Amino acid sequence: MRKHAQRSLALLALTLLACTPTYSSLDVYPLDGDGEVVGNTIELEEGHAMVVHVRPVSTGYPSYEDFDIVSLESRSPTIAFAEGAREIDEFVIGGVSVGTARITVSVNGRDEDELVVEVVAQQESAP
Amino acid sequence: MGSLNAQGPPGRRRSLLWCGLLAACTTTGPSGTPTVETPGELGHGEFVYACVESSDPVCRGDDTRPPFPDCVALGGEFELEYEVFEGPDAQVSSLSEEYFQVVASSRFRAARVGTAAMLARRADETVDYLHMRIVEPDTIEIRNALTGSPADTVLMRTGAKAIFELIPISGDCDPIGGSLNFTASSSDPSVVTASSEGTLALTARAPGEATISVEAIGMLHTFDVVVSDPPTRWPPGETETDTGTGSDGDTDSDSDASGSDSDATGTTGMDSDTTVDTDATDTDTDTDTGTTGTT
Repeated sequence: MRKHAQRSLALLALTLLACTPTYSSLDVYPLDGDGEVVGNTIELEEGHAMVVHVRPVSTGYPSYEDFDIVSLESRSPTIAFAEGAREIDEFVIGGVSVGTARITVSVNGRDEDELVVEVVAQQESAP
Repeated sequence: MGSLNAQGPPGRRRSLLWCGLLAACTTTGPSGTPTVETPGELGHGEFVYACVESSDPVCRGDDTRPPFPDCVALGGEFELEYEVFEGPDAQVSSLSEEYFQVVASSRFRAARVGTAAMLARRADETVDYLHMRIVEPDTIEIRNALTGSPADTVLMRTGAKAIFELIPISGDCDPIGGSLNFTASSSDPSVVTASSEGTLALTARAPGEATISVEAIGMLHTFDVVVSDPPTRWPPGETETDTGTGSDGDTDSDSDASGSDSDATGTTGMDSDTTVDTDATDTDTDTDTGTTGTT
């Protein structure tokens, strides 16, 4: 009886694992604003804001769905601002001051990757 | 994209619809201050600009539909709120306080030349944003608040008060927004005093001459004030027939419109240039009926 229960639990765990996407990478592209996105790196001028789409990519089946929660957190909020926008998987990135900031990307509460935000000086106000 | 008709009373919905169709539109704020709106760059609502002082060029003049300012003067203060089309309210915050400093709730000061975003945020999301340009004014004009005339040489009578505004001017940006903070001083406070609380207020104390110095965002402006005693009253029953062209032939623009002071009589000939006699707030109770108000 006990052995049967153990087998059932193992089977359930395997089934759940099989239904969970396996993180592979991020799909990041700009939606609004003047910043540039190359891979996981975003470059924008200080004082400027832009909207980016950030969606995790799974290694295989199943893929991530809209109900998979992606969140961003800036590790240097004095350099780069990051916060969710109104739509799913859309985020507002802002250049607060010149410098480089890393933004932690978590999926369903688990830290999976990071974005690098290069905040550069405004051309018109640069010395 | 938020819809235009999801929230608010019908009148407000119509207003939002029209504002959505137009680039910018005007309403009147709760406190009666003029406001102008422009859609956020993400289209979820409108940013509402309000002047802090009447010296803000956006709120000056007779234009009942002033446009949303293209930019804000360096050092200029203004209020900015956000009205979301759908969902809970959002608060405006500055993305970078290096550019827009937060003075108070919804009140900001342009601190550095450049362009910076104002964010409309609520709970844990950013609903919208608006990039605003900050420029250094080419010059700052000091104008009489009542007549709009520039302050070159100001003639005042003892006891009179005059109000002036500091107007930022930019050839690169029109309209430019923002009310400027400034300091003001008088070379001889026994003749005329100057205060700088929102507007520049001069009070004539005694006959004489003084120079007023005004400094705003590093720009220094000076102008002279000549204070003289009020002229001798006309004998009872006589009226002055001065039509505003004194012996010097000039055409002054005395602005006694709101004052009960009737000392305007006989002063015309004294004004020898384009200065503006500013008895707007004079509370003189002289009952002389010989006023012409056209000095």
